[in-house]
Amino acid sequence: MGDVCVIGVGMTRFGKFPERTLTDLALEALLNAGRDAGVDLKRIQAAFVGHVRQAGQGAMLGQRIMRDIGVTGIPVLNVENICSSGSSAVWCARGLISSGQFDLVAVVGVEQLSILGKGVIPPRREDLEGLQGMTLPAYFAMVARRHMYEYGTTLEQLAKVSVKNHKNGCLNPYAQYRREITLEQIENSAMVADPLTVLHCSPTGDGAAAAIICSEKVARKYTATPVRIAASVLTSGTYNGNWRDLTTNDQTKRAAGQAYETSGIGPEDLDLIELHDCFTIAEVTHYENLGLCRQGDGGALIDQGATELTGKIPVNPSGGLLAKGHPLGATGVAQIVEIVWQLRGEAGDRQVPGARTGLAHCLGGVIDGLDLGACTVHILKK
Amino acid sequence: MKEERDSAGRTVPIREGLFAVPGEKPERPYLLGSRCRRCGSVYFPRRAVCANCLGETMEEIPLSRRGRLYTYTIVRYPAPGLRAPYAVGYVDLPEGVRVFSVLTGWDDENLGLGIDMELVVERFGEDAEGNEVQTYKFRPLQG
Ligand SMILES: [Zn+2]
Repeated sequence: MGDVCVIGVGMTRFGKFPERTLTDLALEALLNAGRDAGVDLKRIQAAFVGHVRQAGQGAMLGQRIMRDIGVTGIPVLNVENICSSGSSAVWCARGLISSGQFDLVAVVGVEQLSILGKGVIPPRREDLEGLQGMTLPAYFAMVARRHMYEYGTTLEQLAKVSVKNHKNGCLNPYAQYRREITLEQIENSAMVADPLTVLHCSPTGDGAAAAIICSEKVARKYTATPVRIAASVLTSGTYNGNWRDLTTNDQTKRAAGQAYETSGIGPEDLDLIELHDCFTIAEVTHYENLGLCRQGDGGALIDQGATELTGKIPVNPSGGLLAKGHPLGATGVAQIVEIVWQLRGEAGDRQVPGARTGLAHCLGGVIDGLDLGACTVHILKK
Repeated sequence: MKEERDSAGRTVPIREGLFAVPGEKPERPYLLGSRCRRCGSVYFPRRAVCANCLGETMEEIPLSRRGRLYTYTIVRYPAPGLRAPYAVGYVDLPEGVRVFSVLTGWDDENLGLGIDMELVVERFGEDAEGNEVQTYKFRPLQG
């Protein structure tokens, strides 16, 4: 069995586009990916569409996208796994190609949060925590406070993550925010949940991303140098009888561990990482969860500059969720798009020189009593 | 005051089966947990099936009224329908349960990780019929 390859990628700019529609955003990304691959989209055998259906919109979204390009009759699966919806769609595609069921499929991730109005993403009221005032910023604020207490991590170290990712975002024409910010601006921005101010939080926004994924055999017809998916892992949270350790994330550790093992590529072999920096503290804890440093040393890693664009292991060269933006369903696919551009040497001013391997990590959904809902790790290589 | 409120509406729990308030004064409310008769695992909120061993014989147990603050935050940008600021946190109970809870009796100075907390039942808000909605909260244990 050959490798599963990504032969085309595309996305919309991330931002606030309340006047557009979900299908329109998704189509722009998909057509870009199709052109990039040089593939006639009529040949697509299946489509996997990641979308969170905020406010109940977007049922059968995948079918509506395919309808608009006249690709009908094929299997279309709408995938919802909160922030990991898009990357879970990639996982579906990779698995079904790997098993021989299809050899040319499309993956799309899309979201439009601007039409929900301002503010935090509403928690689910069926969860007792959500009912009693839990919000995503509150959750990560509590993670931050405990991490600071146990490991001496400082608020300034957390803020440095936001400074770094905004700096990278300036170099990305697809980013929602293309402006540098300072430690002072972060400290003086509005408090959302102590100790996190608004510039510690990823923005809400709109956008879409797409990828054309195929078997190695098909890939050879289109390109001499396809990007390969060396590992694709999906995990759910651990149920610990209501004893949740907030400073670590077991499901990210398990997903990364499996990805490293199946690909034979370890954290020391990676040239870049796109990880789920929904809040600054999340990036610091994922340095630890992904094995870039020991538990508790995430703050030191950012101090050393190791994860800067010019550092030992650049993290979120695209600007990450903090600066590039976080249209939930689109996020996981957009990470794949960035890594493919990087591995092909097409990432422009934010190019990591000579990149050959990259890892994408997505994590979504605060659920009562679980770590979080769904985690994916993908490793791509040239 | 109390009678006036009672005539305007009842007091209702935020959800049934979370806590109990015995009649005697002073009030000593407690959380209702489940303990699996087969493996001894303890849960809050209560569960019908043990996630550890799939045992279906669960006994209801009162959980300790005191615990330690694991972490907390003061929410300045509220969840929809709530008014900020409010504090929430996780409190560790001796039964091995880490409980998410609204915090009360706090000010800018008296919260800290590891401090002792005590359970109370208080007003959370009002429902559509004008009833007072109550929930469990933890407050810093004075002295
Ligand atoms: Zn049991």
